Amino acid sequence: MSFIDYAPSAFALVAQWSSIISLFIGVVVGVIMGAIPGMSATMAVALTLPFTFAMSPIQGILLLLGVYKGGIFGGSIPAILIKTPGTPASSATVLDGYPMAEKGQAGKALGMALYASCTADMISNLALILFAGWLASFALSFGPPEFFTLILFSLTIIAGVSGDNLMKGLISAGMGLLLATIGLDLVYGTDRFVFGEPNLMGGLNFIAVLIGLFAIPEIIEYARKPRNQETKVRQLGDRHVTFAEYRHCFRSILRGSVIGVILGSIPGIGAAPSAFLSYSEARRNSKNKDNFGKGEIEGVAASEAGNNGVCGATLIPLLALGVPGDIITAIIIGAFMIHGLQPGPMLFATNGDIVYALFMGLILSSVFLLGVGSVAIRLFRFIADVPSSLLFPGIMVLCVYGVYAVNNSIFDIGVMFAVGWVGYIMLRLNVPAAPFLIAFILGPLLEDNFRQSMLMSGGSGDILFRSPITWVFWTLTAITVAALIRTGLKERRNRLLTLEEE
Amino acid sequence: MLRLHTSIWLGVGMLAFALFLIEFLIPTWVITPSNVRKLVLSPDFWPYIVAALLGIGGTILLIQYYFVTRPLQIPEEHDDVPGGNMRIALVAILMVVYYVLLPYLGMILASVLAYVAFMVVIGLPRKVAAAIIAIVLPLLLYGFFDHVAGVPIPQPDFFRLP
Repeated sequence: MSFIDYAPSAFALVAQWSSIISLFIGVVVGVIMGAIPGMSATMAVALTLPFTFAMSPIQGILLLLGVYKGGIFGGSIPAILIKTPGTPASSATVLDGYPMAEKGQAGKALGMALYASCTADMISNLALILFAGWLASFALSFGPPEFFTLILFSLTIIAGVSGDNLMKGLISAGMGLLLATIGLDLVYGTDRFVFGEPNLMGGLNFIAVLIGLFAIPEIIEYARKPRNQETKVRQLGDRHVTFAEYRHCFRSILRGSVIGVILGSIPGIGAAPSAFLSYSEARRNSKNKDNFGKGEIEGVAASEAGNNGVCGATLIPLLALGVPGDIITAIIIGAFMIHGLQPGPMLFATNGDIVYALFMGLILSSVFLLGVGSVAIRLFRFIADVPSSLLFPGIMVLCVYGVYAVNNSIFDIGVMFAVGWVGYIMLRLNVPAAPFLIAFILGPLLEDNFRQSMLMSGGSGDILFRSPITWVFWTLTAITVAALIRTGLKERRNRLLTLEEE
Repeated sequence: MLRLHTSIWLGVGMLAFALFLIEFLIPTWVITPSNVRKLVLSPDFWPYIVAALLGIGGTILLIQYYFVTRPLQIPEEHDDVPGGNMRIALVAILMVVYYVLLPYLGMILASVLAYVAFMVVIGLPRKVAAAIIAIVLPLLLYGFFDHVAGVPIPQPDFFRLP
């Protein structure tokens, strides 16, 4: 069945007041939380997740998608007004956004950030609608060996690009894979690392691990280093972005959107590299390249288009293949699972109406973002004034309630705190958390597909090379590893040259 | 005081953990049925692979440190904060006590106390606002989860809200 077949039932799902309100609330919550310095879009989505349990799948997932989209844009507001990116994806926006704010053009910069974000978001959503179904129908021919090689490739690239050190990413992914083995064995049903504790038989709760990994370390770090918020919020100024300026920047916005779509659809790359690539391409092609970094509006447009262009595209591998493209989509995959939905090619066949309803909701979210973003820009002064000293203990309490609500289990709260301390040690040792979480989610799938392949072949490894698709993924994995090693060696050589010159 | 590079901590730690997994944890806590015919299908095959991965990762990290990081004199930032370690220890105790008290005091009272305790750890700024939030937030969350989401929030016999 195609989009046309599902359109009426999908529209009926998304056209309900409850769905529209959920999406709207999601965008509002996302923009506010993204705009609070110290919070991030990831934490916003993670903390919202427990509130979706009581909702229908479409409402719950639309709420989270709204938070995701709002959070990514929200991060650009403090980037421009107080030179503190709300999310890593907004780091590139600081380069020209803050100099514009210093010149009294903060309103103009924020306006352009909003229009560029909404345009890129819309283009990214259209790419999702065009390509996800096509990719899913292609993936229907995948068997366990193909999925095993695909997941292996995804994990390699995520571990490789998430931090500044491939080995730390690999160790992080290994820890995630190890935690995923806890529980009953998939084939024989015997205990694995259960330690006689019945609560561990079903494995570790995904939400407890997720919140433990992304919220608790921030709380502990805040306790170690309570930060006084003495930020100077720049005035918006009375100059607003004009249509002529938008048209002047449109080429950069379009280019940034396409960069975002391409990088977003590759698992592991994420919004920050996309924003910087879009920014550097805009600078390279601009007539005003000398003005970049000094308050060039095209720079703001390009970086915002780059980071928002990723939003819809990261859902392509998630929905079509069941592979999360980044941390936020890894959290959203949890929402699907909670509501009994398994993202992947079969989702289009079994729950096509929900998938297409989500697509329609995403288009609507761009419109909401435009309205909510305009208001948030004016109200930022109040958002920035939320004291971290009151916020972080509140987040701790929220985490406890949220994690308990998943299974009505106090044990899960203990898991959350324990994983939180593991996450904190990782934070202090500069070990990226993204490979840990994505490996934890993909670990059972990786092992399951591996063992199914072995069952099919009677234990022969040849099956993992049985088709051109597996060869493609093996080759991509090898290329990724080679590229990462080459980059490391190049950095070493450059560093040696610098030392010799000194 | 001699400060070891994080790569050494992580490398040695991972290597030791991998050995602990291979020598003790997996043989003791992963139950393997006697009728497993193929090694690759055994329940302990995957944990051994992951343990090897961690061990290899730790080893390469150490090699990287001795052959790349140290010769290249790549500096490492140390972000020391006065009293920071003490506050970390207090937060650890706070979390343990919070977890232990949950079944006895219920989630609302335990959360009120945990909020206040956290504020004390960070020096009790904004006392009035903190006191209000410490009480209102757990009650609001109770209202949402218990009455809207239908999640029975644990409450003790001596203090029960409707």
